[in-house]
Amino acid sequence: MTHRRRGNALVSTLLLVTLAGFAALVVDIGYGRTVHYQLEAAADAAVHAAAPFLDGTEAGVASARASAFAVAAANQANGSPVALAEADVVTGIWSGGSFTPSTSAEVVNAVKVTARANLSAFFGQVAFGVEEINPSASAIAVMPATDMPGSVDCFLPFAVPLCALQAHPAGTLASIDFQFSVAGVDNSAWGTLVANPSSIEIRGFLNNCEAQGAARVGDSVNVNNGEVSSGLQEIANVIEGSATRWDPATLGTQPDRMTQSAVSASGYGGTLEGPILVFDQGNVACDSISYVQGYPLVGFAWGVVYDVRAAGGAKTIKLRINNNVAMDYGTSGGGAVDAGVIYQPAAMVVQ
Amino acid sequence: MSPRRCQTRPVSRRRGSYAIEFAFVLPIFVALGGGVLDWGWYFSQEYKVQTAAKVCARTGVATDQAEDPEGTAEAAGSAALTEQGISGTTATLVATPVGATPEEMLTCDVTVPFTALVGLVPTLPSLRAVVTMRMEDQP
Repeated sequence: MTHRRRGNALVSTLLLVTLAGFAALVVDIGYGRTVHYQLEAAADAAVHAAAPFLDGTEAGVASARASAFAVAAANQANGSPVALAEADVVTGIWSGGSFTPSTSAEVVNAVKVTARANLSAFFGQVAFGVEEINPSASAIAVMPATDMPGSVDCFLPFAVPLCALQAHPAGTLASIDFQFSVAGVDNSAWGTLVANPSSIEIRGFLNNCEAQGAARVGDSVNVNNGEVSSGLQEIANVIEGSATRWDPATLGTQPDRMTQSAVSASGYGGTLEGPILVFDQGNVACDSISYVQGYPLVGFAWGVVYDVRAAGGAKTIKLRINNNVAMDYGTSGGGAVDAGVIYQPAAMVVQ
Repeated sequence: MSPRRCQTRPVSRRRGSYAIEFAFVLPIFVALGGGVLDWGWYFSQEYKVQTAAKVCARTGVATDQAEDPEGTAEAAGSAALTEQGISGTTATLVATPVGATPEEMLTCDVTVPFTALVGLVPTLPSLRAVVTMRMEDQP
């Protein structure tokens, strides 16, 4: 063979290897990415199924793990059911954007699943000497704290900062005076998903708590601490006409009417009940709410409004708040207000 | 001085041999190049179908049982396909409930016919993705 022929053969071989390299990049990596996406879907499905079982008990953790295995196996990657190893399902604590593994059933609130596959490379071996591709995908799902539901289809147009609730032990009834525009005690506001609601709209929301549609954690709350006296008077009207009466068994002894209460003596004893928006205003003091558009909605509390002062003295709404509501409230009437249904929070896939 | 010997073939014959070698090698190069294009296209389309199946399943399992989760899932999956440039009319998208409460699941099966860009190497006739998730609302 002459030098030139050897040169031609060399060039052809180099070209072939180069093309095989491109083929490896496209086909093998494409193949690996496709299986990765399938694994990702399986991991997402597995954590999504597992997280709702995390209820603070050992049995809950066991159910969560079992569900993760079952749902992963119901999905396929590279034509085969996704089989998880024991170590691929990890429970832990999700906090501050990071996951810390933990097996303590009382504290775990998240589950992480890693799905893996082993594939044989088509061209990678020729071009790069790579025989196997090992795609994997992980997902983490968090179960929101069960003391606050994730969404409601109906809510009263009030908002309270998270820090105000945190001052009360979870699971207890808190007696709170909502006060508007009073320096140092300005602890509440009209809260809506509607920007700049008019007094007419606020009164409408009080009489039809579904008027704004559903609210979900993560929505933006528009907070207005203006007194809106006509809104306060409307609360009094609803309380007076309410078929839902003060229940001493769950609410304790009924307090006396406020001085200058807008609720008449004969109408006193009715209540206006429903979910109230809970927002996070960051480092702002709990007793100095200001007019803000777009605070993040972080949860809901069950509010029972029973008294209101619409004129004279500090404009005040008296209510009891339970920030650890049961999840099976169902509907309950509050005068003209349909209090709506609180749903079980959904697991959130966070990573 | 000894007479010089001609050690190479005439130029015309060399060119002929190059042409024959080229004729042998060219189909391999073209097949590889075409394969790269077709399989690259295949995998990119497969990703879109996988995404649609995932959207379909995720939407369906988040829907209340009383509000037609299968229909809602299929509508969401079709919208996801359309959004990604795959015509919903050629796709087959089926959402099916699987199992029973408390482990009822929803499976979304999406199949889309695949047309190769070059067509010189064999590819699969269709793209398919199947995603199964557990229903959130377990009655």
